[in-house]
Amino acid sequence: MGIKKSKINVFIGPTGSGKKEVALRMLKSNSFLDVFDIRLQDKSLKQILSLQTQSTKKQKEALQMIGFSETDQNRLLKTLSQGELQRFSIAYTLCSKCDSYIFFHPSVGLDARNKQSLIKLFRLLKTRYHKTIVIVSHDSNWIHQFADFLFVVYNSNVVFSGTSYDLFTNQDLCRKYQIKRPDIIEFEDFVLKKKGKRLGYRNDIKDLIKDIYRNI
Amino acid sequence: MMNSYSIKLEKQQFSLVSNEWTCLTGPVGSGKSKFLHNLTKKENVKNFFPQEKVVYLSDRTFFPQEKVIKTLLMNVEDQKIIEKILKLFNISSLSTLFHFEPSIGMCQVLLFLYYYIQHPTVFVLDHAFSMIDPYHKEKLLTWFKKECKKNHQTVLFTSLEAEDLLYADQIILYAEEQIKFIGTRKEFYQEEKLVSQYGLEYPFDVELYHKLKYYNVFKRPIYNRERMIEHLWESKNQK
Repeated sequence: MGIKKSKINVFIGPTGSGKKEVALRMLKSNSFLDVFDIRLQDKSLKQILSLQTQSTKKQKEALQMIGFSETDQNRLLKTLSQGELQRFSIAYTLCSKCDSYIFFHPSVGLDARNKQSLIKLFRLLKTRYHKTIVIVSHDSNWIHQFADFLFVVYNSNVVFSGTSYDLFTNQDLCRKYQIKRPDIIEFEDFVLKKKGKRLGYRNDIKDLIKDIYRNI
Repeated sequence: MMNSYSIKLEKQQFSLVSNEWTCLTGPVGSGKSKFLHNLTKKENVKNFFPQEKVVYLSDRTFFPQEKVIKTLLMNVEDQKIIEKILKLFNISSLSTLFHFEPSIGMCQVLLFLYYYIQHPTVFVLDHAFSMIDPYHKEKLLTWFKKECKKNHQTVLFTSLEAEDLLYADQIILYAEEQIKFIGTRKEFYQEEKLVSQYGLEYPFDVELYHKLKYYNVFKRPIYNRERMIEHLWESKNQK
C-alpha cells in the first residue's frame, strides 16, 4: 500500500479523517508551506521562494508555471487572494529539489479554468519530469479526472487503496467512508437504475455526451 | 426586518434580498473577498444593514480553539444543534477536541457553530466552508438553509464550487472588481457565455444540459436529472 512512484497519488476522506497526517507519514516528509502562517504574511513572494532555492531563474520559472508574472514576485503574501495563495504554494513546492511533491487541497479557492490548468501541471510533472505527486483533497469531481491511485483515509488509517474506477464505482464503499462520488458516475448509475442502460465509465463530460448521443 | 438591503459600495450597487441566500461568485483574483471584507466594516454594516446583527466569517478568520470549544460547551440554548452538527462529523464529545489540533475543515465547522449560536440575522460567509468535504458540506448546507428560512436569516456567501450555486436564490457574478451579472439562479443558468468567459462552471446537470442542447434534443431548458433522462428517452422513442 505504498505511494506509487512517478504517479499521481490522491488521499481522500471525510473532514477530520487524518488525510494530511497519513500522507505525510507515508511520504516520510515534513516539508510543506503553510500559507496561513502569520509569520509569512508580510514577506514578499520572492523572499518566501528564497527559503527553498537561491536560484532566481528557478524562482521565475516556478512562478511562470503557475501563471504569475515577473512583477508578482514583489507582492506580499497577505495581498494574495485565496486562489492566488493556492497557486503560490504550488510554485513554492516546485522550487524544491525533491522527487516527490505534496499538495494539500490544491483546488480549494480555484475556479474551473485554474483547476484545469492545475491538472495539466500535475500531468506535466509526472510525464516529463517523472515526479511523484501526492495530493490531499476531497474534491472528488476534480481528482476523478486525473488521479492514478487513490488512498481512502478514515480514522487516521488507510482503509482502501486502488484506482478511481475501483473506488468510485463501489457505491457501498463510498457510502461507508462518507465520500461523495463524482457527479458523472452518479449520473451513469442513475441512467442504469432508471433505464437499465449502461453508459461507459467516463471521467470527462465530453465523453459522456458522446455516449449519450450514441446510446440515445 | 427589511425586505431587501440596498448596498452601494466601491461604485457597485445592488439589492440583497432578505431571508434569501445570495452567492457572490467570480474568477480567482476578481476581488470578491476584498469586497465582502469592505462590506463588513463597521460603518458599512451600520449603513447597509441598520439594526441587523451581522457576522462575517471567512476562511482566514482566526480560530481561537480554546475559546470556541469552551463557548460551545457552555452554551445551553443551542446544545441540541451543536450536538447534531458534531455528530454529523463523527464527533461524539466536544471536550475531546481540547486535546488535539483539529483539521482546517473541522476548524471551519467549529467556527461556523461559534458564530451560528450568536443568532445573527445576516451571515456574510467568504469561502467559509471551503475545506469541508462535499459529503458533509451538502448535509450541513441543506440543514443550514432550512434553519435560515425558519429563522428569517439572510446569507451572502462566496464560493467557486459549482455545486454550491444550488443553494443560492440569487447569484452575483463579480469579475474585474465589478458586478457583471445579478439575477436568480435560473437566470444565471442562461448566462452560458459569461460563465465560460470567466472560467467558471455550472453544477453538473446544468453543464450537461448546455452541452446536450446543441444536439437539438431540448425545446426548453431542463436542469433536473430525472426529467432530462425521461425527455432524452422520449425523444429516442419518437425517432
